Amino acid sequence: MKKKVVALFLTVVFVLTAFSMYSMVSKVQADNAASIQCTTQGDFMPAPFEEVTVEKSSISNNQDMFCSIQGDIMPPPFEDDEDTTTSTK
Amino acid sequence: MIEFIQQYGAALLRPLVIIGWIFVYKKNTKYTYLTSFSLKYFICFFLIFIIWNIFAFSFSSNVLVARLIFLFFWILISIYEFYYILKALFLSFNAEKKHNDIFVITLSVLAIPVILAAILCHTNKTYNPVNTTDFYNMILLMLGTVIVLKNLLSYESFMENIESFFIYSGFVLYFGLHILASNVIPFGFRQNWFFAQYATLISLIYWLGSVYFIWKIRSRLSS
Repeated sequence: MKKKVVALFLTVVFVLTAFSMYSMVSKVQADNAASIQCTTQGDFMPAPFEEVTVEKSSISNNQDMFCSIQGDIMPPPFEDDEDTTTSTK
Repeated sequence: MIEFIQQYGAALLRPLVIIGWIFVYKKNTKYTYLTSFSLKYFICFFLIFIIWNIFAFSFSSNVLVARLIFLFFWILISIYEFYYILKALFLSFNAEKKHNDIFVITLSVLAIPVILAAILCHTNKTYNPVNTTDFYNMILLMLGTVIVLKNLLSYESFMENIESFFIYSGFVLYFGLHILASNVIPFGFRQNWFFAQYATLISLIYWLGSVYFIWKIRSRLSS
């Protein structure tokens, strides 16, 4: 490997490691939704920490409202469609 | 059924994938050094996950021990992935012996945030450190894997490294999907906690399907 390639390689590694350390340490006290669940790799995730409760969604069955198939621009959710219909009347 | 696939799909598919890849490894004996290394360490990669799953099953009733086991194996698999991709990267550049010191320094530097994240996760009772570190790890690993793939495709003897191609293209898929999985909450998918399992499941299906294609390509080449 050329010296330039080695220097670039080490720079990328060091910069991303520094970012990782900075983000990790700055977020360690943050009490947000991301702290309750583990989203890393692994087949069986550990249980959420007991101190924080999961915020439930106000939408009862949001799976049916959003289009999740392939396509770059998704159609609007059905709830919005209903709202528009109501407002035009 | 969906819940069953979410929880046990990846764990059940792993033994099938490892059997398939052992079959691939045993089928052909003439491999390049890179492909031989890739196959051996790829099988070991699955073995670590299977041992991890056995421990996770055995201690699933004790939440605290299960969490400690998870963190221990997460450290192990993260450092192993760095070792694997870094070694493949150096091999693909034919710079393994020449730059051994850089390899050791890089691996040591990359291991620091992984170990620190697991310690902070345990002491502060929050998954933020591991989630954040895993996200950055995946970016680095995906970058490394893309370069390995680029080097593989530029070889004149590409067909001799066909197994490596399927392994590393699967890793690009795996790391790419896990980057998305690390960000389910910032992206607004508050209920999709199983995104990471689906990411693993899709990659496993790809690797399992690859066994068939490798077998077909190798059969055609030998005939």
